[in-house]
Amino acid sequence: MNWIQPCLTAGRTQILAGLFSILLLGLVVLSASLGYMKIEFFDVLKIILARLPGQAHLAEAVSQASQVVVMDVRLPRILTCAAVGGGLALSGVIFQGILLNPLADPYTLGVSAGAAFGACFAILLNLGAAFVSVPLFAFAGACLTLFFVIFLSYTGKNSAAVLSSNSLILSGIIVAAILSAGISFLKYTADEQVSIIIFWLMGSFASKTWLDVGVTLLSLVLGLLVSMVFARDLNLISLGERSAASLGVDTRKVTLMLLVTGSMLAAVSVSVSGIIGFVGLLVPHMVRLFTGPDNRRLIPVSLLAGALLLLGADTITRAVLPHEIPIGILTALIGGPVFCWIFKRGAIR
Amino acid sequence: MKQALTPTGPDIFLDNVSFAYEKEPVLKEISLTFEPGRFYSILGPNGCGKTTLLDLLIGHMTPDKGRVFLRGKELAAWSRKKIARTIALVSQNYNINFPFTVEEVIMMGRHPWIPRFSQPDQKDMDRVKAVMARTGTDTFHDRKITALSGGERQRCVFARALCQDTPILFLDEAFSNMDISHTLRLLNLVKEEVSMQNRTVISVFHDINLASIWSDHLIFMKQGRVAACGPTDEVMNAAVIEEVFQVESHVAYNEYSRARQACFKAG
Repeated sequence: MNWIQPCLTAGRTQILAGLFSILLLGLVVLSASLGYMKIEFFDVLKIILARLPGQAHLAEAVSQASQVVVMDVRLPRILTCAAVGGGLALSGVIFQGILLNPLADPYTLGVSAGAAFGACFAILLNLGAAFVSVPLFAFAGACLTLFFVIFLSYTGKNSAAVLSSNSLILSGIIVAAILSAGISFLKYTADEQVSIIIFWLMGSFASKTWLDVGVTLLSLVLGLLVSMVFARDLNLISLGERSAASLGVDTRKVTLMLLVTGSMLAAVSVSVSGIIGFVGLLVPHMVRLFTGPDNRRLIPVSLLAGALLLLGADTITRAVLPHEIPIGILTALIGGPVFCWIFKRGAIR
Repeated sequence: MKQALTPTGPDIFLDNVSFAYEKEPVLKEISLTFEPGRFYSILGPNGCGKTTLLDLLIGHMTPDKGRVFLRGKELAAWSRKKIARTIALVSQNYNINFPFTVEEVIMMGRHPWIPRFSQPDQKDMDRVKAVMARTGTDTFHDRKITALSGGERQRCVFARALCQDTPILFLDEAFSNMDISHTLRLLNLVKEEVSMQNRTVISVFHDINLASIWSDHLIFMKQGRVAACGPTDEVMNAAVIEEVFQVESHVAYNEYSRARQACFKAG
């Protein structure tokens, strides 16, 4: 931690958050103007503003095709992507705090493996319309996994050590290992459907709808509320359960609340867009270098940074690269080397 | 600190408390009374249940049998926050993985006193400043806690507990990594709190001689039971030490330290 010394104060954190918000809005509009069909930046702005009450005249000069592309194709994808990016980063902050481990990520407890198993199951059985059943099964799989992990680690007489970071991490590893064997088995039996499974696992934001936007934004807002209410408790928990309990934190209750919140965020993200790695691990890390570890500053800035980063990556794969490559692969290809660099600089150890 | 100045009955009272993690009992039928304004030390071999006893007294665990009373009310009826305003704990474990600054960590001691969405006010800041000056942590107040040595970190955790402004202070091997100068400095500070503020201190110690110099009462534990308990001058003797630790010693009043001290020999 010695290569960026100054931790920003509260005031400068607000400036950073404001800057990120403006950048994010700009990127949303920019991203909506890029793609197979080029649309002027200001036309996009007009199309969006025309949706405000009483402003319909703004979009009169813009072609109908552009309006449809922006409103029905690009914006749902862009907003879902930004919400998922923010959700994954927020989930990462929560898990790193609860598990007292700056290397934890939203998938540490096997939530992604559970979601993947549920999705594979739905694809394999070819249950109804895949648009509905796959996300639902993925979400159910993630929730069941989470509850099983909590059940496994909910032992011990010391109330300050129940749901301790060690037992949670170990339970998560065990459950994830079992589930990934299950996924392999499903793939083995899947025959020609195996390509659908593999494609789903790599993650994508293609053909998202306003329903996806609604679900992801709702979970993001709820997650932000809960995590901000308990942000100071999370600071204390991140220094150890026993000392947090002696400082008046009801560790069992708060850990459970935050655990469910973080996992729900991850589960919604995975079920909407597949498994997207490294955002939840990397973003809180990089943001922590600027804001310091205080969760009251870390949470909002990480959320914005995660949204910016994932939207940037999705815009690159959608509009800049000659062929769209799965977003999960892109984030791993970019995130992996960045992580190596941070690790080598000793910022983690 | 008004609470601490009005002692009514014992601070903590254990009534026939037993506890087991699994089958093997760790604490067996322990009854103890802790009076306000005194310095208690708990001594005993490794694994005799000292830390478990502290965990029961602060409500991290509930006894299988018997009851624990804090200031006349059964501990189970206390909320976590109320306990945190009454008992502060300096624990053995001070592993910290996140790069908070020393000042931030010490400010966390004010947590039970600051309402949920509030920022620390001037009084909290003043309290933290004063405690940092007294514990000598002010010289590195803006350093990252992760970059400090074990002893320095322990002093920060100690300062955090003092900031909690509680009438009762638990020290769980709080001096294990500190050099002798800081150990003496903090022990004197604690002693001052005991006599001036009428605070109660319950400390788990390994060093019998340090415990003897600073404690009003000693509690010797062995295999989950209280082996000896009483005013330091009465229980600090070779017979008790032999019974509890199975070592020979010579115990005598030492003019210089103004306390009974134990000497050991090789072989």
